[in-house]
Amino acid sequence: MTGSLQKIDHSALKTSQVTIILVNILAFVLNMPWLAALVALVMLLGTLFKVPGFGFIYKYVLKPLGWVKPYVLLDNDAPHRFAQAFGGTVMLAGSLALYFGLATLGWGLVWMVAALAALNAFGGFCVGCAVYYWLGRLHMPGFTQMPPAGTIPGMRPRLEEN
Amino acid sequence: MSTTVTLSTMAMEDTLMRLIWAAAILGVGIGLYWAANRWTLRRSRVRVRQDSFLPKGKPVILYFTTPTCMPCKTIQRPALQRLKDQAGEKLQVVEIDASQQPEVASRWGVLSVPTTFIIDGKGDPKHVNHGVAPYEKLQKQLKDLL
Repeated sequence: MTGSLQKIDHSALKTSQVTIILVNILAFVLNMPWLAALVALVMLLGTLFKVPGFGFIYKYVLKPLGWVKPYVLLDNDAPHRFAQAFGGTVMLAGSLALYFGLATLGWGLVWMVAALAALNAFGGFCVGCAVYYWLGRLHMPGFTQMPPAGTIPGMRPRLEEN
Repeated sequence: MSTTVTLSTMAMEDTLMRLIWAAAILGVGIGLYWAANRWTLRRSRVRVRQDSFLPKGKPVILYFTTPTCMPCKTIQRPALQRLKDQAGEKLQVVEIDASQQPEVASRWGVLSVPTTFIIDGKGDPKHVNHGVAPYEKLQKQLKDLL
């Protein structure tokens, strides 16, 4: 079922994921919970505007400078949005936990988001997308998109822009 | 004065501890990534014996690509061509179009393109690169094989 597939620039997604990893690590090392809250805010705003949260770094800096080349694949956008919304919510929960003094829980959630972002950026597996497809299989309302043909749910598709 | 110094030292110690924790967590992550790569290589050893299209007796770079993969065209293929030009007959580059032969790509555990496998003369896969592998990296990986 490739009819609803769109051209998705995975370089923008990857830039956003790598930025999330770096800012989360920085927040932990420098003990700055507000940085974690900022990541949560950017991720949730990105979901609202249907763009990768930190994709603006790619769009306005890395791409014009030619440092990162576009990598356009035919893919679904909703699972990536869901994954970002899920990540943003976990980051928000982590930030709130840190605000209320629950350091272990808070930083644990921050590291979890960083780990999942790393799995996506370097391993090509989007856990949030896999959850989206899994919910679709369970016929949950709103989860209508199917994985691109021949692609394991959650894995980066091999089908490229023609 | 001494209270300020003590607080500053405590803050530094805290940052240092956090840095150590971050390094340890990153180390575990890199270790897992390395282990996953080793597993892919181990699995591909079985594939080498099954796939008759791979030439024997000389190092091979098995290169998975698709016709519209931009980084393949702009970076990966020129890097492979440069290596081939330098090594001549001592090196074989086998290109597989993953969109035309998805079953081969699946068998080798290829999840994205470009992916390159470095296989020695005995048919033993030594390295796997998920994503673009620059010329310098490939040259380093081939150093002991040529």
